[in-house]
Amino acid sequence: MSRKFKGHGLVGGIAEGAALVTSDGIAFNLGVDETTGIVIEAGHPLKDASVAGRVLVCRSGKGSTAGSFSLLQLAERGLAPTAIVNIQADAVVTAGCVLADIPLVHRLGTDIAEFATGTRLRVDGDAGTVKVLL
Amino acid sequence: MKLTPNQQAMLDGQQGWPFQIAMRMLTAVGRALDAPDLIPVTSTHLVIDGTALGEAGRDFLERLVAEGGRFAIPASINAIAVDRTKQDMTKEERDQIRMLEACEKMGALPSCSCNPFIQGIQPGFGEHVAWSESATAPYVNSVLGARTNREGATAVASALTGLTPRCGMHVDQNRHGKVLIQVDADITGADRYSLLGALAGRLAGDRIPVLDGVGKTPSIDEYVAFGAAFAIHGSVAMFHMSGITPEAPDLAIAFGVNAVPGPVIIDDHTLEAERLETAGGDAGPVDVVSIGCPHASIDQMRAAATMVGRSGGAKTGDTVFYIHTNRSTFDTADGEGLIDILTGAGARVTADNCSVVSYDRVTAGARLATNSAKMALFAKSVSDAEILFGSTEQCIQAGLTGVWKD
Repeated sequence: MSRKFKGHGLVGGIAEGAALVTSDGIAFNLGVDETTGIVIEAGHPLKDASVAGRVLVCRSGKGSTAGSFSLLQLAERGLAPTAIVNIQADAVVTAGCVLADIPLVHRLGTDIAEFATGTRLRVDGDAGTVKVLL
Repeated sequence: MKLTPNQQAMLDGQQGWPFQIAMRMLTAVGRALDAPDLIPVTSTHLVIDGTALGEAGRDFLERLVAEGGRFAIPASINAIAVDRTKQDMTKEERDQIRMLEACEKMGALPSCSCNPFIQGIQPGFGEHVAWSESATAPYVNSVLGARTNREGATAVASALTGLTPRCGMHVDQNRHGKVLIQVDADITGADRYSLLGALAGRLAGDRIPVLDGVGKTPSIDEYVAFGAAFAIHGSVAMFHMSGITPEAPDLAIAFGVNAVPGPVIIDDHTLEAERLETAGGDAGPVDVVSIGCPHASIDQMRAAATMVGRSGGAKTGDTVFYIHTNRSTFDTADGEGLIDILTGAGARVTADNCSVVSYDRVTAGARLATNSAKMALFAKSVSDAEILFGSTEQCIQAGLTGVWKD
């Protein structure tokens, strides 16, 4: 039986992909290389992982507000996450998802640990739902 | 979120794509942060440096222009990645100029500075604005008593619509202090205020700090140095200095709805520990000296020229000695003959940009001397620089002699 979580949708659209999960935040400006999509932040749990095409599940955005444009740069290169799921979205990632047309959902009311890296997820940014696909 | 009929019409696209994408950004952020509605703002300050925006950002700004985007309120511009008067620009530098021109076509003032306050751009007490560049938010909120969150791309959205979500610093009780910092040290000079700002930012984290015991009202240059370091080491947009800043006539008022907590003490020992944390390098030759982060004021330019004159000689060796400022201060300094004195002594006085955002990056691993904790942090993370940190006077001496002396 596949599980479905209901939260708040902030940026609409439906996308699917393999989850990339961290309980940490992600800084798209200076924490992710905008030409490769690879996490470069020193000491980050996802360091050296690529966000490209993944459903990124993380606490929130963090770091410089320039991160909104970093997300747009990634999207232009086809290297952006296919969707983002936050515990609590911040202004930087929210604005970036609007610019880059990336579905964004937050406040699922559940622990990040519910999701495992590699699991296929379907995110619906209009309904505010995240479904674990089998 | 409650939207007025006109706001809903913009969101629905009735005024065209630029205003629709702006409203989509503002309403999404507002919903994320539980804002009940949007409020008017009276100015913006836009970060458009090419290193952050890239071609995608350039295309976005140019599309806004092409589809009829025009700014509804005054918009100043932050430092950009190139000096506008540079000859023989690279492609990326020309792209940066295109981004600036797109903003100008929408009505922005091409001020190109992280220190708009010395250019006469100062919101008034209680004024709601939407400014980006983290270094400006503490000054706007704390020193001027105006109100801004730390905006990013949303500042462009606010410029187009004249609106921002009602949340964060726009709400009275979010401006009350939560952390008490007792300052048991004499603080004078931009470098010492920069260290204090870095410390205060880290101690504060995501809670507004109240600093008690600051002996005298800081100068604009000292406030600007404090604010830049504060913003880059913490995530809040505001601080209070009890008995000094306008929303903190005393501790009780500064803490407002929150109980006054026990203090964290900052003294000369903690400041020295912070200086050693900021600067890992030993005395000796330096590759780069960089002062003017944020952009140097005319007072600082005059002081630099006087120090250069006193030292009696021109720069020796290959050390690159930058003094960063904005166009208006550069022109004023030029009129006073200061640029000739400084460049005659071997300094490179830059306008519009700085060694952090410029495409002319500092060489990886360079030994860099500065009086700015913000410049130190950026040079370390972007260029893996080895940092020497000290007073403006020490930096100028290092710039002229090529050698850092403790």
